[in-house]
Amino acid sequence: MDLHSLLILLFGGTLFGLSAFLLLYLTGRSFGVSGFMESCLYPISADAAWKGLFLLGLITGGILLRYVYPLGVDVSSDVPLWQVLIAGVCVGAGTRIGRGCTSGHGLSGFGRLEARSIVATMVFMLVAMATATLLGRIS
Amino acid sequence: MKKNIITFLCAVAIALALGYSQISRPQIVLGFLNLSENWDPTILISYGTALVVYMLLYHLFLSPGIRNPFQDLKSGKERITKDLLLGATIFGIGWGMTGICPGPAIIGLTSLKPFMFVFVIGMVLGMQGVKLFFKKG
Repeated sequence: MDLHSLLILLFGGTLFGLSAFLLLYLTGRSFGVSGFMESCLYPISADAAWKGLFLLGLITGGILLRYVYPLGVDVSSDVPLWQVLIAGVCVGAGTRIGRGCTSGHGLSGFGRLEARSIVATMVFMLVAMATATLLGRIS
Repeated sequence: MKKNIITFLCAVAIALALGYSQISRPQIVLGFLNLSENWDPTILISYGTALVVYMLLYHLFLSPGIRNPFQDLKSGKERITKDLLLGATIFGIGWGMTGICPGPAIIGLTSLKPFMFVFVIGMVLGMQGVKLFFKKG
C-alpha cells in the first residue's frame, strides 16, 4: 500500500467517524443502517420519515461518489446470485434479531463502549472471517 | 426541519466516507474478511480510524470520562441476550459470504449492478420476515 492510498483510507475513516458523531451530537440520532431500513418496512414506524431521508442521503452520496471518487462505487462480486440472495436474507434477518449491524453495533455502540455492541461486533466479525476464509478455500 | 437537513447531510457525508474508506466495495471487504495468505488490511485501517475518531469525540463531548463496559455487564444495564448472539452470528454468515453489509448495500444500488439489487431484496425479505413473524419487543 502506497502513501497516497493510506492517506485516502485515513481521510475516509476520519470522515466516517466524524459524520456519525455529528449526527448523534447535533440531532441525538444514532447511526445504524439496518434499524433505519427496518423502520421503513411494513408496518412503517412513526420515525420512518427521517430514517428514510437518511437512506435517501446514502443514495445521494453514492451518486456523488461517481463524480468525486468513482473507485468508491467500483463494486464487484463473483459470488453466484443465488448465494447473494441467501446472504442478503441472512444479513436482513440477523441484523434485526441482533438489533444492529456493522454501523449500529460496529461503529455507534462499540464507539460508545456499550458491552452488548462490543460482544455483537466480535461475534459477527469472527463469524464473517470464518465464513469468508472457508468459502475462499473451497472456491 | 433543521434536524432533518442535518440528518440528510450526514448521510451524504457517510456515503462519501464509506467510498473513500473502501468499505463500500465488497471485493475489498472480502479481502479483509478472508484470512488467507494475501490478507488485505485496508478495511482494518479505515474502519479502525472511524471507530477511534467516533470513540474519542463521543467520550470528549457527549459522555465525559471513559465508561468501563464490564461494569455495565455486572450491573445488568447491558444485556447480552441469546437474540444478540444469534442475530450477530446469522449476520456474520451473510456478511462473510459476500462482503456486503447494509450501508454499502444501499450505496451500492447506485452502481446499478444486479447483485446489489439481489442482495437488497434478500435483506428486505429477511427484515420483513423477522418483523412480521418474530414478535420483537
